[in-house]
Amino acid sequence: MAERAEIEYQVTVTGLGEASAAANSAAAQAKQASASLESAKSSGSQAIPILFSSVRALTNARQAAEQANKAIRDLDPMMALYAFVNMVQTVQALTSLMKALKASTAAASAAQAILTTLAGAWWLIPLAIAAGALIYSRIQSMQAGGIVKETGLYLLHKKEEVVPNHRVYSTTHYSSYARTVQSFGPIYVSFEKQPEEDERDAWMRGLEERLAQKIRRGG
Amino acid sequence: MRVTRRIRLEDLGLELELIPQKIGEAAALTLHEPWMLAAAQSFCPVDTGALLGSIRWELRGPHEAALIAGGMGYINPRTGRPVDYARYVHDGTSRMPARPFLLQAVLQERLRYAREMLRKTLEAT
Repeated sequence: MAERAEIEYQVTVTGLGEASAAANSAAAQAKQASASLESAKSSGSQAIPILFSSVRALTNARQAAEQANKAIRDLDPMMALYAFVNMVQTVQALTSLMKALKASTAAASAAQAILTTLAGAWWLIPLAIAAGALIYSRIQSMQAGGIVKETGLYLLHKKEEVVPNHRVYSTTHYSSYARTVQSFGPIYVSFEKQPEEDERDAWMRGLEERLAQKIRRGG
Repeated sequence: MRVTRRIRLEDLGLELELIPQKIGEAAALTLHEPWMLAAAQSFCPVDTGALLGSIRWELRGPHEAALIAGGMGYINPRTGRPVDYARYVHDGTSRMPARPFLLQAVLQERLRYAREMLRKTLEAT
């Protein structure tokens, strides 16, 4: 009779097992990441291979971070849980990259800085490690100097000089070593009246010589 | 909500290992909040107040609770009979529309509990 007289709604917290499993997995990955960074600090190698998987992993990391940020902004626990699981998967995917990470001590310190500036979400912390690893895996060395062969991040040192591309003219075909010539320009010349083609070419050839003389004299 | 926590990389693994325990504790603490009870009482239709007075929130375990209305232990002051009509008021009959005050309360407040669990977990980490 009592059962029929009452109406009851049972409220049960579910999903704790999944969250615990995800946290434990993240903990294992964090320990692995910590060991990788320690190893990187001690090795101090400059050469860092860029893995083919890094682009996909970077995309996944970005998506997981965006998802987590939205979850925090909207205070949506289910979305946060999904973002967390995605983040753990991303970190797992990046494990091989973490192992390959051989950053300098400075790079490892910067990765630590990324960690300490992260605010609010503990589940973003392993992601930050992964992001740091990705960033530093992309920094290339210019230890031996020379021409920059591809656009990207490079590790430069104090007092090293970088010349902008539009002011560099390399003459490797004239000598066995790379030589850099400063160039100035562009120089715009305007005529008061439309010159004849021969007249214009002759004038330009004369200008070249006059400019070369001026530059040689430091003028 | 913004919680800042600085963790040394070396300690991160240990910190994350503590998360399951902290989530469990946060969930148990949050279930002590009587938000569903208050919502159900606000949704409950009132005549004598007997049905309203019979609504209760009972903890059944660390992560389980129940929202209950009606029962033989509650007496309607007008009829002198037990409040055994909660189900009919809630689910409706052929002569009376449903007024699902418990269901409304559960639906309205469940996300609030989930958010609070998340907040407590973040605070504890």
